[in-house]
Parts: sequence; structure tokens; C-alpha cells
Amino acid sequence: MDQSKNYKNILKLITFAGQIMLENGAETYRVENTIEYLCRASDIETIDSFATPTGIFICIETSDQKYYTTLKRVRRRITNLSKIYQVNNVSRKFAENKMEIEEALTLLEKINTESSSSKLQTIAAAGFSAGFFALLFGGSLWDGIIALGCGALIQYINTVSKFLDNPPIFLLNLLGGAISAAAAVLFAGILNIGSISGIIIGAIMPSVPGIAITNAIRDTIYGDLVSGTARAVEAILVATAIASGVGVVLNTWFLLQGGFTI
Amino acid sequence: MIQQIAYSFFATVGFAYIFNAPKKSIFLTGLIGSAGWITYAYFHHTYTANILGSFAGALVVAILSELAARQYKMPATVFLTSGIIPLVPGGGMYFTMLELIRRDFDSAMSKGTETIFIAGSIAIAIALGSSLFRVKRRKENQGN
Repeated sequence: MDQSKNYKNILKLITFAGQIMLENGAETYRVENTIEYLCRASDIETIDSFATPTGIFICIETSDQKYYTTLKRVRRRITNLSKIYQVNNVSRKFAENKMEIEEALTLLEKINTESSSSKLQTIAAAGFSAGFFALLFGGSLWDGIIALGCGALIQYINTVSKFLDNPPIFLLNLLGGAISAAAAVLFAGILNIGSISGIIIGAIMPSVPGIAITNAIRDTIYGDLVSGTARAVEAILVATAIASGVGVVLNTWFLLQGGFTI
Repeated sequence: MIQQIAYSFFATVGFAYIFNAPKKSIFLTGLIGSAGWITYAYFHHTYTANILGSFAGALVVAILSELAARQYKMPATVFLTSGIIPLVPGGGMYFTMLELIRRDFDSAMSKGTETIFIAGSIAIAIALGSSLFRVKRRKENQGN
């Protein structure tokens, strides 16, 4: 096969693999490792890859001292562990020379376009985990039930908005926080069922950026300072959005009560 | 105790579904999440040591995830991401920002510091857990 075409195909393969992994929430060091691992199957002299949560740069040096470089922007970031697992499988088989480039590319294309688990299932799962978190953090049974409803509703709104090209993440989180607080005020404040903080804690759990802040510190410990900072900023932004939504609603409620402002 | 195990199991399983984890990993992920939470809860109730508890819980989750990853031939992330969910300080992030919005800077400071420490201890525990396995693997490779 024409050698330079071969290199271009490998570059295409590793960029695509890296892009799928980043878009589906893999850690940056794992993306870089996978890219280097994939290159073991070819006669590439050196490979340098630089992955950040928002983009990926790859440069390969071939045995005849030619350089090929590529840059891929990563715009959407969700967590889909199945896809990370499948890309991992493809890369393992390819690196062990059990797979041709064309076959690997077709498989990656299939992984990329494959739809994730059903929307109803995700909505139900978000509801249940919100409910059980309310219970886990010491809420009453009513707190759990109301949090279940809220969590499912917030997930439903997030799912629907995925059809937009560029979903307004900040506004969605703000809305999620406001919905949780509104439900808490309605049930605990007015109808006297459950407790305000118990409901809110459970309901916002599926959207709060606990994983993001932990990964930010983990990236920083590994020396990936750029992605660490990027993830930390993202986590703070999401937390601010949720807290603003909750804050606005609670503030209004306490004002209407004639009491103190929060 | 049994309640806590059940609650943390189902909360973790819920997240595994949200994150679209491979089907055959989900049950085990739930157990890993419970194991981490129980470890944390032990330190929390016995010594009221939240940060140490988070560290110990995350270390348990990290080691179990690495073991499960080898058993099932999946990346450890599959188990880790959902498994540490009960431990991660999402609530802490939220309370920090809420106190800032309330302009109660003292509470925001103490909540924020605790959140960063907890997130840091979890991150260190995960790094420690997975590097233990990396050292082991390198030794095995040298043996061959």
C-alpha cells in the first residue's frame, strides 16, 4: 500500500478514536494512552498527543522523518461509559494486529453513531438515583419520593434539549436548580410534606459536578494542568448555575414569607 | 446499615444507567459503590472524619474497580466513574455556591475548603489505587 496514505489513515483512526473517547467523558491521560497504544501496531517513529477536554492535537513522526499533524475540536462532552469501553476493545484488537485499519475505522464509525440507552430508561434512572440520594443523605421517605419526581423531570428536560445543536448548559442547570427549589417550596414549605433541604439535595444530585471536580484534581495530580484547570472551571460554572437557580427561588420564597432574605 | 447499603447500591446503579455503562458491569458497579459508601460511613459515624473517610472509601472503590476491570476486561473507568458517585462532594460544591450567593462568606469558605479537601482526597486515593496496579503490571511484564 502507498506508505503516505497508510500514515494518513492511521492518523485518521487515532484522531477519531481520541475524539469519541473525549466526547464520551474519558480522562485525558486515557485518551493520550490509547492514541499511543494504537500507534504501536505501525512503524511510526514517535507520536505526540495532547488531549484537553475541549480539543485534541496529534503529531506523528514517520520512520522517514515526515511529520503529520492533526487538530480536532471537541465540542460536546457527555458521559457514556459503553462507548469508552467499545473504543478500548477496538484499540486493543488493532494494536495486537488482529484488525485492519479499514475495519477499525468502520467499527469506530458504528460506535460513534450508535444511540445510547433509551431515553425513558435514563429518565427513570436519574429519578431513582435522585430519590435514593435523598434517602442516603438522611432525608425522609417523602423527601425521596419528591426528589425522584424532580430528578426525572430535570433529566427529561436535559434529554429533550439534546436535540438542539448547542444546548445552553448554563441555563439548563439554572432551570434544574430552580425546579428543585420550587418543588421543595411547594411540598415542604406550603403543603408541609418533607423537608426543603432534603428534597433539594436529592433532586440536584444527578446534575451536581462532583465527578467533574474530582477529575479536575486528578488531572492536576497527574500533571495534566490544562485539562485540570478546564475541568475545574467547568465544575464551578455548573455548581454556580445550580446554586443560582436554587438561590433565586428560595430567596423569593423567604421574602414572600416576610422573613429574612437568604 | 442494611438501609445504607441498599440506598447507596441503588443510587450507584442509577448513575451507571445514566452514564450508559455496559450492561454486564452494572450490578458489580452497584456493589462497589456500596462498599465505598460503607467505608466512608464507618469513618463518618465512628470518628466524624469526613475527609479521611472519603479517602478510605475512594481507595476501596479504586482497588475494587481495578480488580473488576481485570476480571471483565473493561477499562477501570467503567466501574470507577459510577462507583465513586456516592462519595463525590457534589452537595459540597452546591452548598459552597449557595453560601456565596447568600453572601455568607464564612460558611462559603469552610464549606468550600471541605469540598476541595474531600475532592482532593478522593483524587489522591484513585491515583494511589491505580498506580499500585500499574506498578504490579510493570513487574509482570518484566517477568515475561
